[in-house]
Amino acid sequence: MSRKPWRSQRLLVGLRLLRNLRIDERHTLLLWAAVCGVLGALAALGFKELTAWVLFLFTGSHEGFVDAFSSIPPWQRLVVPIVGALICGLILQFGTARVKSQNTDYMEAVTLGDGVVGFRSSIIRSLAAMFAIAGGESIGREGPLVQIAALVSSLWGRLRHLPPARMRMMVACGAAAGLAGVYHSPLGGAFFVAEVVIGSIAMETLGPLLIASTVSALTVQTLEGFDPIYLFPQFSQSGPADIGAYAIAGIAMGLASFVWIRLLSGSKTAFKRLHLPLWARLTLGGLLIGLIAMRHPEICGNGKSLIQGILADQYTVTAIAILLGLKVAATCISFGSGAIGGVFTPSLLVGSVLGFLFGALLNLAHFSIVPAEMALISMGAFLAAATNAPAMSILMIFEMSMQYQVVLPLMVSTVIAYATARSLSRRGLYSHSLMHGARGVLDRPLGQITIADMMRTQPHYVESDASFPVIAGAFLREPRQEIWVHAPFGFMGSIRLEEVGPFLRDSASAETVLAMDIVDESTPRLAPETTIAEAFKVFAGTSLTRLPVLDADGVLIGEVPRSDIFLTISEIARRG
Amino acid sequence: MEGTQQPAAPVLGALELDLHVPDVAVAVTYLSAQLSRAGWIEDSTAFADAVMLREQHGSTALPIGVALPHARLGNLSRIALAYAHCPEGLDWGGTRVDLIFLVAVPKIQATAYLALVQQLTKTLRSDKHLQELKSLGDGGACRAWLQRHLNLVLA
Repeated sequence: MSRKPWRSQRLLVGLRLLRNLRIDERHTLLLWAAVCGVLGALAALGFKELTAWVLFLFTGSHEGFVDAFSSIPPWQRLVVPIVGALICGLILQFGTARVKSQNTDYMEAVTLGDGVVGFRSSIIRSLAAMFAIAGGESIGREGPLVQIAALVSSLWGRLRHLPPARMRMMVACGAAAGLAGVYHSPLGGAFFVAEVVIGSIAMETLGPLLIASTVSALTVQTLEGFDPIYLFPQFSQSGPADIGAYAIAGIAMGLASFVWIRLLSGSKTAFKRLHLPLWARLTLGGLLIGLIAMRHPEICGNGKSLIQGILADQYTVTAIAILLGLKVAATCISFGSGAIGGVFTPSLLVGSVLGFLFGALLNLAHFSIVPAEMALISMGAFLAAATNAPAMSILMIFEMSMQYQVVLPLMVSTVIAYATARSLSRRGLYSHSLMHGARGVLDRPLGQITIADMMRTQPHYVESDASFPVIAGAFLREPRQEIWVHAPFGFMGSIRLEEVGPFLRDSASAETVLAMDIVDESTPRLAPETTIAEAFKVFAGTSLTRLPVLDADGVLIGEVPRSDIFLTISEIARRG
Repeated sequence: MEGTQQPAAPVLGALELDLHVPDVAVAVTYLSAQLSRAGWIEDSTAFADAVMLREQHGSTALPIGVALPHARLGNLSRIALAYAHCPEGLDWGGTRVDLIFLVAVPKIQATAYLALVQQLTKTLRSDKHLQELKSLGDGGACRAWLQRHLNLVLA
């Protein structure tokens, strides 16, 4: 008889433990992050495969870019980049003309807005990027690849009807998963998104990012193996003198990254000054790349195999010096002409080349250091300075080489390079103004930003004669504090969850109630031309969590959540 | 919560246990006038027009033979009702109706109005309650019944 109470007591303790666990939304977010990890990895791998397939179509080779382009005759090396760039240009020119005003920028989708990445425009841009990249443009794949990974995560979030804050996190997780999968760098992928896209390393966001990265890495491991990207022979133990040399290299890389970013943006401006249509500008870029490739096919592609060659000490100093000049020129041409892609791997290459040359210079001065090791460390330092992301760079170089010995010199060199670059300019490789020109909304002064720049289109509303069960359905489908009511003559007002919440469950017993019977017509309204400062005032006078945006005819065209106003201001402050 | 005080309970402003009218419009006009005479609404004609306009957007008749015609007023301090029993029944936009609750709703009391409608619908969905209410022939007993089951305040 003593057993039974004992058992029930244990059960009680167990139940209490379970209750204390409190599984809430933040925990389910980790589950969604894992889903994003799988989706992001698959999307990224898919993009990589398709690009490789287009490359085969162009060159008949299954090898990497450099080998593929070296294997074809010079005339073909001239033609392929032109054709690739032309197709890319035509897709962009005519594809984006049809889908306007969609948000393609995953970085902006993460930091503000509703976390929706435009579907058609993302696909069009990725398709265009595929041809530019396979055409041999000297550009990386991370841009479109992260874009497409972010897109699938965003689609998944929309399918699950996640609230905007969670949607933004989904997009971030997708981006982290994409990077982690392609660079075989789960830590680096998560920190890239934390440092570059979100702008802070807070555990609240880092947790889901790490989960997404891990699951992505596991997915890639299952599908194609997961070796370090750059095989590096044994990295030697660094002594104090070596660390000193790496520190000096850090300063040099900081300065060099400043020049690198200036060159890239200068090239973009120069191409713009030609006032050519996009497709012609891209074709001109393709022609220039083709001309260089006729004699030097090694400039084609992102430069991954070249980095491998430098790290394996396969090239002479003269060859590397020539390579530096050609590759910088080629990347500036590709980026400047508007080819869609990324500058991540090209930046790694420039960093490694500079590092190798610096190491060789030290050798000339009778300082013994292995140039290939200097190349590896400088790669990280240059990356940190160019992307404004030191933690990501340290982790990524470590993961790419899988050599623990790199960590000490890497930390010193990276931090110094980052500090040097920051003292010169706050603009990084992924600054909005570099990627999109100076016209970015959030690069304008606060007083010039209006509601039209930040409002969300497709606001949720019900018609004025919608019955209460329809209204209840709208509230239950998507958790929100208020819903708009629209009448045939224009916007009518709002219905607040606070007022109708208790009646939602049994909505059928209020079927005779229509939206017009319970709408609050005193709802404050915003106009598209309202400035942020004015909107602040309007929000101060209401308890609504979002406000409707009406055009001059009183028609509802969008809405602005209170939180977006704060996010916009914090993002402007961050961009300084 | 600051600033939100509980609105006053709905008041029963008029009662008609044996209403004989040819159609909805007359019923609404008559009951509006009753509410006006009792001092709950000011402009009886304007209110009746608003109620009829609202009916055009969607009938307020329930299949159980109860209609809840209503309109919103800006200068009303609490919800006011007029109740009527039409023993002969009335064609209410295709539904046969014999009980009418005409409701004047203050514009800012969406919550109180929803509470009233749900309470009313739930109570009268029970056949026992519905028959009970219909069988009441005496004004005093009817008022007491409405007070008890629908939490109405008697004027």
